[in-house]
Amino acid sequence: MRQSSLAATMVALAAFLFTAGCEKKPSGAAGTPRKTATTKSAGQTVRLTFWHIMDYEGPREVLATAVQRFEQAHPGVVVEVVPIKNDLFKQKLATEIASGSPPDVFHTWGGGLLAAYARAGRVLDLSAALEQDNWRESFHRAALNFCTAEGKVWAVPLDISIVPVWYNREIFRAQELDPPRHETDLKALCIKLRAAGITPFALGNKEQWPGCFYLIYFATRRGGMRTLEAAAARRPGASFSHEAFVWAGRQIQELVALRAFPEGFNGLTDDQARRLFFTGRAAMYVMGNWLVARCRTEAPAFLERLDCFTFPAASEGAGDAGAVVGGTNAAFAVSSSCKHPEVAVALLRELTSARVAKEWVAIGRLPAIGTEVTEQALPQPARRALELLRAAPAIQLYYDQYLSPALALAHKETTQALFAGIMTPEAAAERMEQVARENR
Amino acid sequence: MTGRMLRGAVLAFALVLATYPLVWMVYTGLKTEQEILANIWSLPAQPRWANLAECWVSGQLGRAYLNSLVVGVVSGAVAVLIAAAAGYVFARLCFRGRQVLFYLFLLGMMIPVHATLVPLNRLLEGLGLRGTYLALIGPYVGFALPVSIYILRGFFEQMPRELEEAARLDGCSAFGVFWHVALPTARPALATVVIFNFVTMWNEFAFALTFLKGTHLRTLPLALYQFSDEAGMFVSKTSAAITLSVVPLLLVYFFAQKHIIRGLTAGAVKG
Amino acid sequence: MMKAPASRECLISWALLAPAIIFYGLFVLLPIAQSAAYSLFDWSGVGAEKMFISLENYAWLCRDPVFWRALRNNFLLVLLSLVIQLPAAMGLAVLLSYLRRTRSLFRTILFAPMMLPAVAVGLLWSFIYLPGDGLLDRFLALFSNHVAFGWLGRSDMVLPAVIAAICWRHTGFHMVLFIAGIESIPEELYEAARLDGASEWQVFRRITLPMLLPVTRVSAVLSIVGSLKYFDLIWVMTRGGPAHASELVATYVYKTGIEAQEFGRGSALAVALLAIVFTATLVTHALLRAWARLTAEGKA
Repeated sequence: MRQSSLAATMVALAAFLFTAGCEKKPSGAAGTPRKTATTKSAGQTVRLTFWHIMDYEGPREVLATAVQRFEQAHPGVVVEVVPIKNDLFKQKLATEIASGSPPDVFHTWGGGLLAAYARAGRVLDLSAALEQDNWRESFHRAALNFCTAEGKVWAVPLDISIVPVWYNREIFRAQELDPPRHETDLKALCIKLRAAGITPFALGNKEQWPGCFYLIYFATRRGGMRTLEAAAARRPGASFSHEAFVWAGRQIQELVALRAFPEGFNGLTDDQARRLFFTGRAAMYVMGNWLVARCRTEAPAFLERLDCFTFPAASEGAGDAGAVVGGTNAAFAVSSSCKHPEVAVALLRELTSARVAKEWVAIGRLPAIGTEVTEQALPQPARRALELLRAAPAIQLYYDQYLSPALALAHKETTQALFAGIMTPEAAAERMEQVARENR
Repeated sequence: MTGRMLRGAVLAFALVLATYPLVWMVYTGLKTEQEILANIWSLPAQPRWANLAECWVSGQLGRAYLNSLVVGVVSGAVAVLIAAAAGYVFARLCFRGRQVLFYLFLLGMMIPVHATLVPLNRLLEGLGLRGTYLALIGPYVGFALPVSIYILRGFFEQMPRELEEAARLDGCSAFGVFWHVALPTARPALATVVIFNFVTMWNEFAFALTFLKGTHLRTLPLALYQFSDEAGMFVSKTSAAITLSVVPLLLVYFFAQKHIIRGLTAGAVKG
Repeated sequence: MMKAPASRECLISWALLAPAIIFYGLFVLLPIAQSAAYSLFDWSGVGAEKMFISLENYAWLCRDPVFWRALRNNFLLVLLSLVIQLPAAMGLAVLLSYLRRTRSLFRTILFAPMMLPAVAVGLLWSFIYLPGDGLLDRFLALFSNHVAFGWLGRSDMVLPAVIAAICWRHTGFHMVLFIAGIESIPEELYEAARLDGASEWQVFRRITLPMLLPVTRVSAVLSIVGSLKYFDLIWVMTRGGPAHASELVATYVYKTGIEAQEFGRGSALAVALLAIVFTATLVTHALLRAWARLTAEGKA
């Protein structure tokens, strides 16, 4: 009878719901056999959740093996590793922190957002832990600075990344071009490339952050790092309407007018821009040195054509001609709601150990851990980036990480508006200043 | 006869417009990246079925399918039963405040779901449901109720009363009438609501992204999004992944579409 | 009418309603109420402090140019969806009504775009709109010197481009509703009209169109509500950009609440959207009912 089969279905459903409701045991890093508690207190397993953004081949495996080693060295501890794509990660983390259930250990870029977490008491102060065994000394000073707020350290960096201008050697050779020294040379270069039917820069500005590199560089070259620092700290007399920012906006709009960027760039994703670059249809690409790691897996044949130079200086202005834009693209913090802080900190030690640093180098990235990086271990283009890093007097942290969340958003939006040509440089600078004033 | 030819032409145009992108995507997923760069229109020289296998594995689509299936089936079943009960009450049984309550349910159709992300996240965390399928099933059922109740109420309202009255005369209780008479008669509408809800939940993204903890419970749209990021540069891989995530659903739909049509009729035509 | 004792009746009613009320109340109404509560606070989400500022978020909203831009985009979407999707859907439904054996097959095919997840549709159309390499540009290049066009990158083209994708996806849904409506029109009416020598166009105008009014009403309401709440495809294809050119209220809710972590403001935006949708639904209902009455009176 139909009714009894319906009833049977309902019972089955209920049973299924019940079993489905039971928590699926999370597996540790890929393929780890379950560790049963041995020496831990009262036979309880310690569970940690670890979220990071390295969800692609290369870095993902490095972190996974590091976690595996940690679990083997600490029986009774199970770490659930969750790699999440970049922008999804930001959104998920924001929701979790707002609803009071953040992961135990998570990725951070340092800067203003980390400082906001610190001020709200959401992350653990690691300063004391750093004093033990000279752990602090193993880190690159600038990278650690990015993780510092109000004199205390809230995260530890694994990675240090810089943003040079990558270029296609073959194209430059064919067009008989040299790396530009000043922005005037750069513009001439763009005109020449366009005339030859090549897109000068690969740019996919849909997510707004790739275009920001240009603004930051121009502003830093013209006004120096202190201009931004003063404006962000709201020092008397300092403002986001400073001439350096306006000039930077103007340079961007001039480049757009010269068609330095691909058609429809404001709607292209960074992936699509990278594709243009790797297939030889764009000559240059302003991007972080993680590009080398991507090149290794996505287009290994392109590695030999890849090289980089530092962003051109401003022909006039009292800025920092040698500074590079960069940051730490893998730093880890511990949530203050973590139930086992000592274990979490131990995990951090493993994640920033010399062993992991070596593996990080092997995939083409630069470690923030100061052990001697053997140049031979790096793929050639990355060695060049390392040279630039060593030669740079200072590193300017990406604005969208440096500034507070509200200002960071305004920065991304005004910059995209500049690229779209719907805002004048003066208006964009003024808007930044206005947001800064509203959100002291 | 030109009227007929015109009609045929328009129809053919509509068909091509609707299906060409899908067909293109399917065979593009079987090409190599170089082939795509060389000629975007061409059929693959040799279909690379391996593409599909690779995507399945690296995107962990198998697990994602299972998760989406479990969540979709359970939510769909629970939602339709609850909605049928409620729809029946609204259609047949009178009580004070019936209309107000019904409008309150309709309100749920108008709400932008993102506004509920943080409150629901907190609630689910507090109930300890985050690591389970229930984290999605609960909200999915809740948000499926407005449209489902709307459709089912419409169906029950125009269902002939004779059957129910006959059952009552035979001594059936009110609940019995619902269970033994109304529900079986409503099979087409029920099937429709199930399929409609299933498709909605299958494609749902925002809740799945926010409420699930860990990667083992990831549903298909999430897996697809994650995969498209990793392989975003490769048109062939992304196409293959989309094909995999879409074709099975299309097949299910081909076989089930009769119910969708009949059921949508029930609520819609009488308004 | 039912003869059972009223109180017993009531009990059954509530028992049958209970599960619905529980699920709906817990997972829908409660979060909405909380969201409305958040909208009265200044809450940045990172910190736990909330400051009660009553209606200030709503005042901000009224002053915010991005909100008005988004609302304008939403209305554009409502208008274009109604004007494009409904007539096209009706037209296709009428066309299909001339077919007998193949009707089912074609109906299925034309409905297929609705079955795809938004991510898939967004990715597919992003391929189509890819400047230079995408299907659309390559197609245009076959006939002209056209090389590349930034369909999704230009502020002036992005909204129409995404609306085209939205129409592609959703027209099939309305078509199915109209087909169902047409199928319920008695065959005799058509036969009689044709015997009287009416042309196809007259048949459509005098019989089909008026009898489809109830379905049109449902279609219109669903379309308007859906357009005002719309999120999926816009987010996947453009994220509301570039520079808010394709921003919708729902995407703005998301950006303000989750990305900028301004939960108070995000909630205020959501409540405002809810109010707008509610008002629009009531107005639409009233208008269509009035129109139905007018045309009915006209006939009689």
